[in-house]
Amino acid sequence: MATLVAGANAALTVENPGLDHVVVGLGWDTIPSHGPSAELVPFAVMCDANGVAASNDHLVFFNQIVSADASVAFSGDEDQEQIDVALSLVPEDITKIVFFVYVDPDVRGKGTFASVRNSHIRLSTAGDREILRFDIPASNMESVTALIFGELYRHRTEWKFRALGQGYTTGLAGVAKDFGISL
Amino acid sequence: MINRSPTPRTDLPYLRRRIKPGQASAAPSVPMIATAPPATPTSGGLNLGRPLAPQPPSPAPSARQASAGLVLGHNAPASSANPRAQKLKALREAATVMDHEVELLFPAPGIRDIYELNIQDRVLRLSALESAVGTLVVSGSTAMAWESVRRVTGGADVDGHTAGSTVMTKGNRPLAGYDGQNALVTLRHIRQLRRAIFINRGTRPMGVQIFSGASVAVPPPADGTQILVLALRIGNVLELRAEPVPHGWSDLQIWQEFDFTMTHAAPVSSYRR
Repeated sequence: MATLVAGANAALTVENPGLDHVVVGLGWDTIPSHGPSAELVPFAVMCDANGVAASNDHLVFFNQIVSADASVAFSGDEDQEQIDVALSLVPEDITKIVFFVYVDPDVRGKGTFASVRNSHIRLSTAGDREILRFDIPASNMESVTALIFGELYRHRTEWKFRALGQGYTTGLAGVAKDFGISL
Repeated sequence: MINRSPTPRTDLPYLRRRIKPGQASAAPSVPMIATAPPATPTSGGLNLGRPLAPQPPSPAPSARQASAGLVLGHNAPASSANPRAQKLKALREAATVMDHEVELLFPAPGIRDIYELNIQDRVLRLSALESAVGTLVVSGSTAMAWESVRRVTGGADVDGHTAGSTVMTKGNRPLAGYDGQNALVTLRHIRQLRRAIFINRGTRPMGVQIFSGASVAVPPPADGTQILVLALRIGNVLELRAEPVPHGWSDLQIWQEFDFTMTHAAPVSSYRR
């Protein structure tokens, strides 16, 4: 099992021949609160060659748990959320799949990642063998309201994974703007 | 005591597998394929138990292939017998059913397509994303009622009076309720909501706004008619409907008309076992 740092990438299918299915686990620990608390929402965006969402049918989140082509699906909560990606089913025009988490923008207090003590993204096989893991540094998160954990992307005929840990202070709206998501 | 019986005893567990010499051919011939107990297809482990009765040969060899416990490949594909694959299949089927449910709906405009919900434009439908992000804010309403998918029902008015039960969410916020002058629905937990209704007894219009800032107006009571907003979740989308009712109806009559029956939480006792 490899541990990545921000910006590093890993050749998934080259180093794991025959890999056609990965489980992407997103997890975090938050400081418990009895009052209203920040609610973190995991999200996956399937991007086209322009690096933006192919359509709103290519988003996977709690209210749309399977992509239109059935290649990406929410599948479990062993981490806070697990997303299955059937690599062989991903359409050719999808060049990358971005995984991020945003703080739900509730009008009664939007919250930030300040209450998040640690977070991670990890990839494992269908048989639950962990392939790689990226523990996201928990520094300077006070104003972060959305965080890109990592992305799966095509490199020629292979699939690679890049660890990112890129924070946004503009929340879901900022991420949506960058990835062409129609809110 | 020596067992001199001509037939094997089956009442003693440790003798059940014992077959006397010379009598093996007398035992009913059971093909190997029939000896697999029915519970084995998904278990990859060793099973020493003997089947209680011969099973007919399975017509689907793929079901038995999954019981071959030893897999040497690191990246075994998610077969149909893999619990995760089965769960995923169930999820996909559920999502397909939900999509089908939404596909069956008649066409309706989106929140950006109309400016006002009224007698002519009576319905609009939010997208799955619009239905799930942030808060549905209804301004100008004087009372509301909600019903969760578990049929927990409650009501509140802008002056702070409440009835029925509050539905709390994981984020320690109510699923629906008033915050100051605005009626709110927590869309992060839209899957918990079945429906909500918003009443306006004031003289100003109501407004319904979503996270993107898109909004729609609802006219105030006029000509003896008041227009309510009924928010109804269908599958993964939220539909907003304008429902005209007589202006003279009380909140209670409206709840009855739309079958909102307040539920009450059992009083909490300090008794613990």
